[in-house]
Amino acid sequence: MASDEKKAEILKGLHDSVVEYEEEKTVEVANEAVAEGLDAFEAIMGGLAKGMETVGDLYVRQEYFVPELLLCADALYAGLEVLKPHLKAESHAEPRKIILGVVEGDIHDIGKNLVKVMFDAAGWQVFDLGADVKIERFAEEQKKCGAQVVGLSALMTTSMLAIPRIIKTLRDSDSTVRVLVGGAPLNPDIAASYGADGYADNAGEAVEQAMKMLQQA
Amino acid sequence: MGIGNDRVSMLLKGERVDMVPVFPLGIRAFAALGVGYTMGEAYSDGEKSCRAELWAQEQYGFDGFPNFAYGPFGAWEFGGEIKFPEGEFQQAPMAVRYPVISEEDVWTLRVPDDISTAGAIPIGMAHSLTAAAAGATVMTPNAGVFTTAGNLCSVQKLARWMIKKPSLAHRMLELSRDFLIGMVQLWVDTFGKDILMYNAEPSAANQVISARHFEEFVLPYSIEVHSAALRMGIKHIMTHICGDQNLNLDHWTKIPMGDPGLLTFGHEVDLHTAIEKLGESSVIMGNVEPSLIQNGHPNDLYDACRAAIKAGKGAPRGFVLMSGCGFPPKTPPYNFFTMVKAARELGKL
Ligand code: B12
Repeated sequence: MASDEKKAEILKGLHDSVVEYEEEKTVEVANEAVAEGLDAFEAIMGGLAKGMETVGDLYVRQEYFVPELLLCADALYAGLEVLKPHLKAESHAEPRKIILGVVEGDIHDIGKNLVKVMFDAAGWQVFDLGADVKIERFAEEQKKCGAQVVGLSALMTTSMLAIPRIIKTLRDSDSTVRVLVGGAPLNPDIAASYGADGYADNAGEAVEQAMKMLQQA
Repeated sequence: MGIGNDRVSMLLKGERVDMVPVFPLGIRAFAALGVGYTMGEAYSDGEKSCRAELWAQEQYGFDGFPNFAYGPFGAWEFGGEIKFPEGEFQQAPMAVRYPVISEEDVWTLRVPDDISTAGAIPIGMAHSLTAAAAGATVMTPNAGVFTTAGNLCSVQKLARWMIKKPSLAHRMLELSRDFLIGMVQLWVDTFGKDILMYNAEPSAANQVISARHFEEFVLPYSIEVHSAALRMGIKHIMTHICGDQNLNLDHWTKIPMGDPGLLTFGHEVDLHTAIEKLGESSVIMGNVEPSLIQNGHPNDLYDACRAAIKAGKGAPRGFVLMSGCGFPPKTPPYNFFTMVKAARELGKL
């Protein structure tokens, strides 16, 4: 078992290597965490995910941009790959599930990809349907995987008109599913008028919003 | 052939105009739907696309000239694949296969031997021929050098390479630059030098990259493409500075735009700032939020036009009321009329 000091050092190492987008270093520290017998869940949440949270803040403050974020995400995923197989049964008993996709007619997928990273970092199981996703597919996939939340991204005023239609098909098929929406032309008012349960302005807030929605459910 | 006689073209010639012109950016899809064509035809049929724009101009009485540029420009031209808009929710073509997938592809990719037959170039050419025949100002149909590079390999790959493998990123930009210069040359050879070059840089927005990366990967190549166009004798370059580019504005001042240039801004950039930084050398255009144009109440839209006209009216080289980005195809016709009405009622000069 690692000493408290060693543990703190490893968590900081995971945090920093994600923030500094050093993929190899992240893998190295993740392996060290395993070797030192650190709880994998703690290493993920207290190290990698914390790092991604810092990255989210740096993005909002315009110190980091999409290129930096993508590389931080690469480091995060590399670390997750090492740590996930070591998760104890109870800590990944029932991961929360979310379906993500960019709506039909829209290929702007950078934002959705960043949202996905945040949910991955927060330990959710993410079903990513990609971009230009046909209306019916969301409900079909939701039925298959039983996701509690569906996240819809639209970056254009034309494509966002698909959102209320998707929400209707989702509600028709499962009245308990929660819908989270985001993307540049949307705002809380439009989201509400489309019948969504939540809206988030950026990837950092997305997970928080999803958690809130589930608590209200 | 040459520069037309609408109010925007008059501003380019340094002539006085009687009111703030309205020039909806990229109106072809809205125009096509308005005359019973499909959204797909607005992109796949150059002649119909241009004709629809000219008819819309006649119907609504706006200024400016037809424009064929589209977002994923470059992907098809370099051998990838795009899909034309078809369903209810699309408004533009999308790349479905990029010409560059692997790192090796970067080094084997070549600028198409015959640019005139590459991808959508023949469609763009048919569009320009239709514009020229109608006496409208002709404009090249391309995107910006950085956005085009992103369209060859995906913005996300380009973004990663910029930091981890800059030589690959620079190679993508060189290919994009050489292609664009070749394309502008083709237009000059066909229509003469009294045409406009077009440039749009959504992927260089600060929602995507930093000003530091703009300086390294957008600025030098944009200077090269614009300088080449000006050397060919083109006098004006119209550039859509898409999205939030507030941190890039000082770099944009270093890119030659012709005399005057035509700069169009999204709602993310304040018009006062745009005029202060770039208004001495370019006509400033903008910047009504597309989402408001499509979904807003006409009164709110009228107010937004009033604010834009108030902010822009005094621009030294002129101001044009414009949508902040591609004109939303599903705009209610009355909302578009509202923009024209606002300019008529509030934009008298
Ligand atoms: C980069 C870009 C492109 C790139 C896209 C590359 C890609 N693979 O994504 C390219 C060049 C290909 C492109 C093409 C086009 N584009 Co474009 N593009 C942009 C730009 C400049 C930035 C978008 C971006 O990536 N931002 C960075 C990311 C990180 O931010 P984000 O997407 O907003 O996401 C964040 C939040 O919104 C939120 N979020 C996003 N999704 C979700 C989902 C959930 C569930 C939650 C909770 C949160 C959330 O979290 C994210 C992270 O913080 C925007 C400008 C803008 N204002 O957004 C225009 C913009 C979206 N484009 C626009 C247009 C018009 C087009 C084209 C139609 C142009 C044309 N005529 O061809 C084409 C359309 C292609 C198509 N069929 O989809 C317009 C749309 C206007 C309108 N009418 O609605 C915009 C808004 C520009 C403007 N100022 O008006 N574009």
